[in-house]
Amino acid sequence: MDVLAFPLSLWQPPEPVSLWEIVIAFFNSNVQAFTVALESPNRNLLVLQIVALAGFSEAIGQCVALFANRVSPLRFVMSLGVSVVFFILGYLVWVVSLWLVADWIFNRHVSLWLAGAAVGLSYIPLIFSFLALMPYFGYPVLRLLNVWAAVALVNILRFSFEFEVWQAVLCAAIGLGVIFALRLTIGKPVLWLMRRLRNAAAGKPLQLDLAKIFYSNEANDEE
Amino acid sequence: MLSLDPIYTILLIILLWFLLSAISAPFEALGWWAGWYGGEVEPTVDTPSAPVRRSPALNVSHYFVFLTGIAGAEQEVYLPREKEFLRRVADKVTGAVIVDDIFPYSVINRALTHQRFFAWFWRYTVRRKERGGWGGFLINFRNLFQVAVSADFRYGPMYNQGSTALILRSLKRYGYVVGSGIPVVLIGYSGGGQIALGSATYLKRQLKAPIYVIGLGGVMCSDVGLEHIEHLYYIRGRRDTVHLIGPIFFPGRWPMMSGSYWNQAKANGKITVIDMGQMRHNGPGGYLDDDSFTENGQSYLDTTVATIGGILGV
Repeated sequence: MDVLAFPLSLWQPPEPVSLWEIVIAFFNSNVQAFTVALESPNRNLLVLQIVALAGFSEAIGQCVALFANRVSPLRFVMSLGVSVVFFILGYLVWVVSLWLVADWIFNRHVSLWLAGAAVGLSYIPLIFSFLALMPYFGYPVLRLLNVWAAVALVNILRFSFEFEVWQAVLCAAIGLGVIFALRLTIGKPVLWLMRRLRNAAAGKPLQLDLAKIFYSNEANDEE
Repeated sequence: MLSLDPIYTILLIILLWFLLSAISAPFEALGWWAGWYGGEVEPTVDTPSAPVRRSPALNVSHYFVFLTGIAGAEQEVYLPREKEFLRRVADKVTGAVIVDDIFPYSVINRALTHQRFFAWFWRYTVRRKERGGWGGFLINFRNLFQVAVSADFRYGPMYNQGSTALILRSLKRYGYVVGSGIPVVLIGYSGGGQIALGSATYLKRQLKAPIYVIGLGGVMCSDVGLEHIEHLYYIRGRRDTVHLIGPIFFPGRWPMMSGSYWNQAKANGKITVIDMGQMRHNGPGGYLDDDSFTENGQSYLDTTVATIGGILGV
């Protein structure tokens, strides 16, 4: 008993990790960020923070559609909130899809939380999606961030699910395929509901094809 | 406690300033389009300190709309070289009305020095610029982002319709009758070239008159406006490095993009490149410099004015 008491008295619980620390760790190594997050007592909150922040950043980065639809400032804020909620829901669907594919097809039995952390941490590059606002160069930057997030996901899946590279890529690809299949089938009513909610937040039916807006409006040339 | 090397700190501040300027650049145009300003547009200048000819000639041959370069900070053309340039153009093209009260880097025609929150900063910056300090760099950079907004496929249609509304308003103030068919010549100096091309699409739709664009050292992308103008005259000097922003940074201008608006217009003979010899973009040795001379003894400014006169056949 005395023998056990000595090391226990030396044991220190791991310190909570801040979002900033995990982002820095991610820049050093995707896998390092994952291990740091795993050991952190606030890991659930951390992943949620990353996903919510990425969702908010992406909503800001793509807010041009709201302006183009002439949404009022209050509706604009509400629409951003709805976008963040949808982004988090999308994340959850993505996690479950990957987890199921890994379990059924690749026979990797990891916890759902581990899959959630893996996907959540791969969203770290998307925290910078607000850079899409930059004129002219913003859109290519957004595409680069998406590629970066995809590469990070493959890296983290390799480590957490003990995959080879091709397995990680294939798992992600099949997971995406599952989501597309859902969107075209049983997901349709959900998408319909989401569109309704988005329009309700904006206070009008949103036209997401900007060309249709711009080429059906004349400039207001009157003072 | 963070301890940062002073050089890194300065670089970090510059990077943050750059990013902040870039991401905030589209918001004025977006807010205008969405109606967040309640239709607010700054009035044009009624009593300029040194007006270019304002009263329309009896037989107006052209309406000239001057869109200042990215060094501009106010509605009124205040750079001495630009003022002199417009005076000489007015003397040369006697039948033209010159419109010079548009600040093309704000869709609500709001001068930097009249902004709601940062007027103090821009006034200070303009003072620094006038003393030959770093102010010019900041103004150029701020306005260059507005050029990028005009060239952006997401923001461009909104920004360019805002510019069109300003140009139309000024044209009407100067007596332009919509439907008269009188040709409109947009002279875009530097980044004003992009604003001119960007607004041409919507201007053509409204005026139903021939529209010509003269890009004086113009920074221009491959804009859909090229399909709607009669012709683009691209005036550029061999020592002008600023106009090169266009062919380098806008992929639609790369020769390999054969289907782009720019390359299609070029193939259709809609773009005439006019070589101005050893002229620079601005300042001494620039297009508007009256103290530098060509081999035949004509000042650069007079050469530029003569070139524009030649384009208009006078």
